[in-house]
This record gives sequence, C-alpha cells and structure tokens, in this order.
Amino acid sequence: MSDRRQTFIDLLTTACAWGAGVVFLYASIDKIQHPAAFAQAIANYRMVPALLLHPFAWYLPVVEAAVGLALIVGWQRRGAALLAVLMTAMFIAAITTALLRGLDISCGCFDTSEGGKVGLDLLLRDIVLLVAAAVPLVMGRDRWSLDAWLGRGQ
Amino acid sequence: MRRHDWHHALRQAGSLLLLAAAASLVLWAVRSDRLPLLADPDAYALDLPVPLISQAEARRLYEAGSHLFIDTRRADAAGGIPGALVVREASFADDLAAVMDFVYPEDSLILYGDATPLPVAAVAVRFLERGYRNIWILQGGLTAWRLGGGPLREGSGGDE
Repeated sequence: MSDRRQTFIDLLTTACAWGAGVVFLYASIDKIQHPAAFAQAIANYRMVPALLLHPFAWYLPVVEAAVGLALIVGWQRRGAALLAVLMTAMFIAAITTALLRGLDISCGCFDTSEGGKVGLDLLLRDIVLLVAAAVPLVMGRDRWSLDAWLGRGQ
Repeated sequence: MRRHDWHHALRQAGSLLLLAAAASLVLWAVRSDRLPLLADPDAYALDLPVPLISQAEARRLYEAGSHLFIDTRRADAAGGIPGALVVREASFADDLAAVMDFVYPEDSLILYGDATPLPVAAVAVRFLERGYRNIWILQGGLTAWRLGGGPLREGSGGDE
C-alpha cells in the first residue's frame, strides 16, 4: 500500500473518530446535567423496564462521554469505536421501534427538551453516525492518537 | 478485523465501561439532585394516550356514580372494583360487545389494571379507536385502590 493511500486511510479514520467522538460527547452533556428528564425520555420509548430506568439514565450518558473523549483523543480508540457502534445500533433499534409503534415522542438524543421528535431524519442521521463509528473500529489505524503516541497503537 | 483485533477492542471497551461505571457512581454520589436507584413506574407519564386519575379522585367519582369503571386485567384475576365492567385487550371486541348495552361512547370511563398503566393504555387506545373520548386510567391500578381503602369485590372476573 502506498504512503499516500495509507495517509488517506489514516486521515479518514481519524476524521471519522473525531466526528463520532464530538457527537457522542456533545450528546452526553445535557443528559448528564438533567438525569430526571433523560429518564423520562427513555421511559417514553417503553422499552426499558422501570427497574432499570434510573441506572440507565445515570450510566448511559457517562458512557457516551467516555466514548466521545476516547474517540477524540485516541485512547482505547478501537474499544471506544466498538461501544459507539453498539450504542448507535441500539439507538437505531429504539427509534425504529418507536416509529413502527407510532409513538409521538421526543428523541432524547442530544437534549432532554420536548423538541427533536423521532422520525426518519433522526434514523438516517444515526445510520451515518454508525458508519462513522465503524471506520476506526475496522481500520484500527490511529497514527494521530494518544495510543499511538504511547506506543500502543492498534 | 482479525480475532486478535476483536479481543483488543473488547478489552478496551471493557476498560471504558468500568471507568464510566466508576465515574457515574461518583457523579451520582455527589449530586444533590440524584435520582433514587429504583424508579417508581407511576411517576413517569409514559406519554399515555389518556390522562391518569388519582385513586382519591377516582374514589370520589365512584361514590358519585358518574363514571364507569373498566377492569382490563386478565380473566382469572381475583377481586376487582364492584360494578366494574370487564374489557380486556386480548378479547376486546368480544368483551365490548358483551357490555355494549351498558357503555356508550359519550360515557366517562376509568380503566384500571393491576398497578402499572402501560397494559391499560393498550385498552384505552382500543376505546379511542371506537370513538370513546372521556377516558382516564387509574393511577396505581387496583393496588392503589386497595391501599386507599376502596371497596373491593370478592372472587374473580367482573360484571360482564
């Protein structure tokens, strides 16, 4: 593989990691600040048992923040990308289920306000996010990452 | 990706999950507005298709005789509110046909289940589809009614 092609792949991988990382980090902020409202947003999907609502509302945004930061700085990047792919797949499943059931609810994706209803546009956005998160997972090259700097690049 | 790459990714993901668990525990501990560990199912509106009504208000309306009570629990459920009509989701058409002479679209209905409103909401939607408009769900269901000292009927099933 030529240097130019390898550089392009590295650039693409890093760009996708940064893009997905910023989205996850930004998405976590409002949810960490307003866990009660986020718990209500989760409850609206009618998929999570009441017993798990509050732990979910506390834990998920922190995982999002950790994944976002890890993707951006490139620490444990492949693991972060794996979690990002899994979480995005879960969001896609939740939105799809809500659409099929005809639920008129807020997404709760980026903030806990009443706006941002679930719809096809959100579904498409999450599919793009899934693809972006999959790139660093599959490629694994992170020349411009903390892992590489520490000598543990994968 | 090679198998080694997957193992590596899984190990890293595990580390991140543990780190996030520790961070979320610290956040939970230091917040003054922290949520209780267990959620009260009735505390969430769940975006129900019809409004909830408290046990106290429902009891008042029961005493006034102004509202019909609809038992949506399964057929072998014991007890119930005296005078309630049984209409279940699984046999909605048949059950509604059986009580058609007693419940009209302009009537005010209070639906109840065992405790949580979600299963009752499905029956409420069926009523809405049939043109009923004045529908409420008893918050806390029969459990709340019983705890509030509301009258109960012995035996299983309802008035059909």
